[in-house]
Amino acid sequence: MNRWRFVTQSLRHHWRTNLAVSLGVAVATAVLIGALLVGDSVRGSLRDLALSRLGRTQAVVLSERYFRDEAVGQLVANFAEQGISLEAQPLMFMQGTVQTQSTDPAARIRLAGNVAILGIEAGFWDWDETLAEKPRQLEADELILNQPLANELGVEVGDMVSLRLPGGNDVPPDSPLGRKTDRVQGLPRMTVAEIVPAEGLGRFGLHPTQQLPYNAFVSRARLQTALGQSERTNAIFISWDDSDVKSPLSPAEISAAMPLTLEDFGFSLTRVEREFSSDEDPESEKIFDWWQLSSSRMMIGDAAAQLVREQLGDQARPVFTYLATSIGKGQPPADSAYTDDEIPYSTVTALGFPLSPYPLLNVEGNPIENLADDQVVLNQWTADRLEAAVGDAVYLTYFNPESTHGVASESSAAFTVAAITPLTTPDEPYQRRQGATYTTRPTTANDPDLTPTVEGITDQASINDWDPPFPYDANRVDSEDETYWDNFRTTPKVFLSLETARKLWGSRFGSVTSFRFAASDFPDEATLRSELEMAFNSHKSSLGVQVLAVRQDALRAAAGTTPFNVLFLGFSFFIIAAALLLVALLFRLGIEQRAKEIGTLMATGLNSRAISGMLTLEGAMVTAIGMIVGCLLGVGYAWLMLAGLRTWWLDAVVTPFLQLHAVPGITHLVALLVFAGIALGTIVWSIRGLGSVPVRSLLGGIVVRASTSYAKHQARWARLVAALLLAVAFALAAIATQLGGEAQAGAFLGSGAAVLSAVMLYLWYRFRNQLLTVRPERFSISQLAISNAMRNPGRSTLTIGLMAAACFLVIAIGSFRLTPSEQGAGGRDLMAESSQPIYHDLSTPQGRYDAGFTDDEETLLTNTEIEPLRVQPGDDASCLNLYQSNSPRVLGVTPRMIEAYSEANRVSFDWAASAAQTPEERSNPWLVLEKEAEGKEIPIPVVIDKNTAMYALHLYGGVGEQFETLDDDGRTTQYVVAGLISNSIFQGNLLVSEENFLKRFPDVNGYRMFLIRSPEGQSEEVAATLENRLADQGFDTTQTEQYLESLLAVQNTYISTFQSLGGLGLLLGTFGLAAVQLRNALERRGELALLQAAGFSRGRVGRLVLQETVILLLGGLATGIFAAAVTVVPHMIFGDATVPFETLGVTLLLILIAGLLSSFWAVRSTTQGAILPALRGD
Amino acid sequence: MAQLDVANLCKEYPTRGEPLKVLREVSCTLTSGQNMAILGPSGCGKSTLLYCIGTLETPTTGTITLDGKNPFELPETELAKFRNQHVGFIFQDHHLLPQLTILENVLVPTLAHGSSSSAQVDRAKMLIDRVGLGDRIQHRSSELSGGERQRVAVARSLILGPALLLADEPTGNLDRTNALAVGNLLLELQQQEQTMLIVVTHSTELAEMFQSRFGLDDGRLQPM
Repeated sequence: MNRWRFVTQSLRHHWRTNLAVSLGVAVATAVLIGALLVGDSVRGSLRDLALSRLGRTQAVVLSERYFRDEAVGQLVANFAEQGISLEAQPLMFMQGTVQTQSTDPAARIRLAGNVAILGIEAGFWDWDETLAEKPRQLEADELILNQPLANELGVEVGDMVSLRLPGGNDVPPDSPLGRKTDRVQGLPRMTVAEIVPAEGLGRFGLHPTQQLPYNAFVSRARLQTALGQSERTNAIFISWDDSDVKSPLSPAEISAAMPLTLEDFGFSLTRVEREFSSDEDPESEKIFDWWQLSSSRMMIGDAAAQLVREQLGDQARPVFTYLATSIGKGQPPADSAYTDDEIPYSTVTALGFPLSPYPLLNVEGNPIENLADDQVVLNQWTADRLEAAVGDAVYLTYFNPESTHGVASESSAAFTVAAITPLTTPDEPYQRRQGATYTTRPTTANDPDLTPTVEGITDQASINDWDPPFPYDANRVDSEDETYWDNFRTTPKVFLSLETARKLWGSRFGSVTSFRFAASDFPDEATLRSELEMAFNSHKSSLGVQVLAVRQDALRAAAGTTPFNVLFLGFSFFIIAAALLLVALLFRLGIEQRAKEIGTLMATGLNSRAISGMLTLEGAMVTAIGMIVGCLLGVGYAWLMLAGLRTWWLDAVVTPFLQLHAVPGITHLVALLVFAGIALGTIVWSIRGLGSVPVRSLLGGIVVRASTSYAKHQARWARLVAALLLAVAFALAAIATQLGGEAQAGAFLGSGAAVLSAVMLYLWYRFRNQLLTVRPERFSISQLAISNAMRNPGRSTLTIGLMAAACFLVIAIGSFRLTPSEQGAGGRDLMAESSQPIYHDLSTPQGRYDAGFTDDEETLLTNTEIEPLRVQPGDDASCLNLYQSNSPRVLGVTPRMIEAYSEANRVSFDWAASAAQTPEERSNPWLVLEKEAEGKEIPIPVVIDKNTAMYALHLYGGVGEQFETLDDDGRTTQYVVAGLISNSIFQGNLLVSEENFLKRFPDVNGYRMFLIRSPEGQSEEVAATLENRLADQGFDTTQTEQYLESLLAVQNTYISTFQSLGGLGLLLGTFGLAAVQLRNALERRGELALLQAAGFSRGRVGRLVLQETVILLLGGLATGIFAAAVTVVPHMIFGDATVPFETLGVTLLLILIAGLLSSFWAVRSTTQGAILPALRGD
Repeated sequence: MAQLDVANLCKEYPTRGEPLKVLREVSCTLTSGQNMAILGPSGCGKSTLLYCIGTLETPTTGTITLDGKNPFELPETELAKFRNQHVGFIFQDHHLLPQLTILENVLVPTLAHGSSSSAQVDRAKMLIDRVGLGDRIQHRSSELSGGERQRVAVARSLILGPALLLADEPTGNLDRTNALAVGNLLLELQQQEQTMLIVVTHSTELAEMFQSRFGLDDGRLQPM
C-alpha cells in the first residue's frame, strides 16, 4: 500500500466524478487546441492555395509593353552560364472582358469583366502539378475558361464567346494627343475548348487572394496576331529548382539577367539626317545628322528622360514638340475663339539653344542663341503667313497637357518674336513613301522629324486624311495649310525654349518627346544603343518592366491578414474559462462528496499537505487524461470549425478553400503546458483550504469552513477587489473604443472578464457573509430558496459565473452585427468597375455622347450622377481577402467628388475620424485629401476604411499615422492617414486625391471605378444601360447595398461563429448548473424528504429546488447582461455597436429555458426517490 | 507507561450572540491499560471532548498532555504526525474508504509516512484476523455488514499501535448483539495492546463494561 496505489484506486473508484472533470478538461483543451489548429489551418490552406495557384512559377516578369520573345531565351541562357537551370515560358497576360456570343439574337448576352487573359503555349499546363489530365493544345479560335468564369458566363464546352482586350497605341489616352476611343481589341467567335477547375494554374493570379478569379486561356500565337505583336510577349513565367540555388533568385538577379533592347522598352533609335548636294556643288553637305531617340508613347516619361540625361549628359539634347491649335499675331483673343488669320493645328518645338552642331539659324545665317521665356522663333513660312517680324507679338493656343474626363481644354500664351529662321521650300513635296527633294539648300529648320509620330496625323498624306485624337475643326484648314503639309509635313512652325515648353506643356507624361544625339559624337549606332540600353536595363521597374517574386510574395502574404489562432483563442477564452470553471466546480463537488474520506485520512494522522498532494496527483492524472482526449477532440473541433467555415460560415472566408492542417508544433506544446498548469492550478484552487476545515466537519461530510465570526467585515477585501475590477472594466471598455485590431479585441474581452470577475467576487462576498438573508417575518418558499441558493457560496458563485460568461459572449458579440447603411456607400446606390479604363466623363451629356450613348439612354442618364475614380491596381486589402496585403489598391478621388460632399443635405460617409481642422473640412472631411504630396518626402494624405486600417494594414494609430507601401513598380510610397470611414464600400482601398494619385501613378490613364447615384427607382435600368453601352470596356455594376452586405457578411459571419462558441459555453454552463443542482439535491435528500414527510407535495419540493436554480440562472443571465452592457455601451456611443434586442431576447429566453430544463431534470431525479431511505440517511 | 492528562479544558464556539460554552474546566487523567466511558445526552459536548483529546479540535483554554507533551503546541504537520503515531480513532460511522480493500483500509494511517512497510502489512493482517475478518482481507467495505465494518475500523485505529484509543459512539449504528461484540472486541484489544481507551456513548450497557465512567453535565465531567 502506498500513496500512488491510493490515488489510482481513488481515481478508479470515483470514476464518474473524475470522468466529468476529465471531460471538462477535455472540452477546454479541445477548444484551445482547436483554436490553434484553426489558425494553423487557415495559414496552411492559404499557403497551399498560394503555391498551388502558381504551379511551378517562382517569379513573373511583367511588362507594360511587348518585348521580343528572344528575351526569354536570353534569360535562360544567362542563368545557364551561371550554372542555374532556369525554366521560362513566355506568356501574354492582360485584363480583359469575356462575353457570350450566340447566333440567337434573343439570347441574353452575359459578360464577365476583370478577366485575366493568358496567352499560353503548349507547355503551360506542364507547370501545373495538380491537373490529372492536361488540357489539349488550343487551336487559334479556341480558348479555355476556368470554372468560375464559365459559371459566370453560363457557358459550356463548345459554346462561343468573344474577348475584349486592351488595345490601341501607347500614347497615354489622358494626354491631348492620346486616342480615347478604339482602345479595345475584339477577339470574336472563340470556341470554349475546355473548362478547367479553379485549381492549380486554373486559379492563377498575380495578387494573392483566396477568392476565385476569372481566367481565360488563349493560344499565345492567336493573341500575338490579334494585337499585332508577332514574336513579342509581355510576360515570362519563371521556374527553377530550389536545390540549384542557395537562396531564391531575387527580382534584381532575374532583371539583371534579362537584357532588353530599346524597342522592348518602347523606344526607337533612328538616324535623322539631311544631306544636300546641288548641280553647282555636287559634294554632299550635311545639313544635320542626328540620332534620335523617341518613344512609342510619344512623350518620353520623366523616369526614362532622367536615365538618358544621367547616362549621356549633354550629349543628349532634349526636344519637346507640342501641338498648337492656333498661332496668331498680336495678343490672344479674349474670348478664346478661333480667328481666320490664325494658323491652325501646327507643331511647335522646344529645343536647348543653340542646338549644336546643327543650330537653328536666323535670317542673317547666325546661330540662334538662348531664348527668353517669352520669346519664340518663327520659321520663315510662319512669319510670312502672319506677316510677323522680329519684335512682334505672337501667341500660341494649345491644349492643356492633361485632360480630365477626356475633355481637352485650351489655353494661350503670348510671346515676342526673337528671330525668324529660314525654311527652304522643296522642289518636290512629300509623297506618301518619299521625302521632299530640294534643289535649294534646306535649312536646319527643315526638320519634320522633330515631331514624334502621331497616329492618324503624321502618317497621313493630306490634312484631309487626318484622324486626330483631339478636337479638330477641318474648316479651319485652308489651302495654304495643305501646301505647308505637302512641303513640310510636321515641320515645326515655331521654336521656343525648353524651360518655357516644360512650364506650359510639361505633364505627368513627361516633358520631352525625343532626344537627339549628334551622329558625330556617336558614329556607331551600337555604341549609343548600348549606352542607352545599359541605362534602361538597370532601371527596368521604373520603365514598366516588373519582376515579381510571386512565390515569395505569396508565401509572405499567406501569413494572413488576421491571426486566426489569436482571434479564435480570444473568443474561445471564455469557453476555456467556462470549461475551467466547470472543472473547478466538478472537482470541488467531487471533493465535497469525499469529505468523510478526507476527514478519516486526517483523523488517522495524514496531514493536509499529504492529502492535498494525493488529491492533486489524482487531479493531475484526471487532467492528463482529459488533455489527451482533448487533443484528439481538438482536432475534431478544428475540423468542425473549418467545415463550418467552408459551409455555414462561408461568408467569413468567401471561398471554401480551408483544409485541416493538424501538424503538432512547438506552439501547441507550449499552449498545452501552460494550459496544464492552469488546469492543475484550478484543481489545486478547488481543494484549497481543506486543511482549515475541522476534521469533525469533514467527518460529517462538510467541507466548507465554518465561520468563526459573523462580523460583516469578513472578506471585505473581496468587496474592494470587486470595486477595483469594475473600475478596470469601465476603463478598458472606454479604451477599447479608441483602439483597433487585436488590441481592441483584447481590451473588449478584458473588460468583459473584469466585470464578470468583479460581479462574481461581489456575489461570493454577499453569499459568504449571508448578506442576502431572509427576514423571518416574511419567510416563504422563495426566501427559503434564496437561503438555500447561497448556502454554498463557492458553488453558487461558480455556477453564476459559468452562465454569465456564456451569456456575455452571446450578447456582447451579437451587438456588433452590422447592417448596410446608406452612409456606407456615401449615398450612392450603384458602384461599377470596368476592365478597361474609361476616358470620357460619364456624368456629362458630352462625355456620354462621346462614349456612344444614344439619345434614349441619355434621357435616362440625365439625372444620374456618375463619379469616376482613378484606380491603381493592387492587392485586395478588404476583409474579403485573407492574405496579407503588400500593396493595397489605390483610388484617386476627383476634386468634383470631393466638392460634391460639401453640398448641404448630402448623404456622406460615416466618418470615424479625420484630420479635419477647418470648419469646411469638418463639414466635408474629404477635403483633407487635398494637400499636395508626392509620397516620398511628403506623405500622401489617405482616407481608409476603418476596418481595413485596423485589420488589414494594422494601423492602430488612427489619424496621423504614417505608413509605407511597396508598390508593383518596386517603389515605396509614403502615406499618412487623414481620415477613417466606417463600414464603407471602400474597404480594402487607399483613397487619395486625384492630383496626388497622378503624381504618384502618372501612367494611369482613365477611370476604372465609378460611384453612381441613379434616380429613385431606376437603379436597375441605369445599371443595365451602362453595362450594355460600355460592354467593350467590361463595365460591371453592383448594387452598393449588396456589396456592403457581402463585406459586412464577413464580420457578421465571424459573429455567428463566435456566438456558436458562446453556445458551446452555454452548454457547459447548463451542464454545470445541472451538476450543481443534482449535487445540491443529493446532499439535501434527507432535508427534502423531511419536507415531504412534513406534508410538502413532490411538486412543491420540486418548485422549491427549481426556484433555487432559477435564482442562480437569473443571477448568471443578469451578470452576463451587465458585463455585456458595460463593454458594449461605449461602442454604441462611439462606435458601430447596435443591440439587436429581438434576437438577443430570443437567445436569452432559450438560455433560460435550457437552464430550467436541465434543473428540472436534476430536481426530478432527486424528488422521485423514496422518502424513508433518505430520512434514514441511506 | 503512557499517561494522558487533561486539565481545566474549556471549549467555546462563536455564535451570533454570546459564545456557546460546551466544555467547562474538564480535567481527567488516564494511563496505559486504563479505559473510561463518557456518557451524556446528545449535544452535551461528549464528542467535542473526545475530539479535543484526539487533537481534532483545539480547546479554547486548558491543557491536554500525552506523556507530558502538549500536542497543541506543535505546528500543523507535527500535530498530524502526533495524531498519527499516538492516537487511534473509531467513529460511529466507520468511515471506511469504499475504493479500498479491508487490508488497505486498515493500512490507511500508514500512508502518512508515504507507504506501508511489510511489518505494517503483517500487523494489519494480524489485526484483521484478530477482529475476525481474516478470510475477508481483500473484500471491500461495501461487501461487509455494519458490525464487520466497525470491526475493520477498530483494526484501523490500532494499526500504528497508538497510546490512546478514542471511540465516538462506536456502537451507535449497530444492533445490540453487534454492539456488545464490538464493545468486547474493543476492550479485549485495548487490554492486549495496553492502550488507553476513551469511549463516548449513549449506551449504559456499553459503559458498564468500562473501568471508569463519567457523565458530562453542563460541560463539566462528573464521575458516575
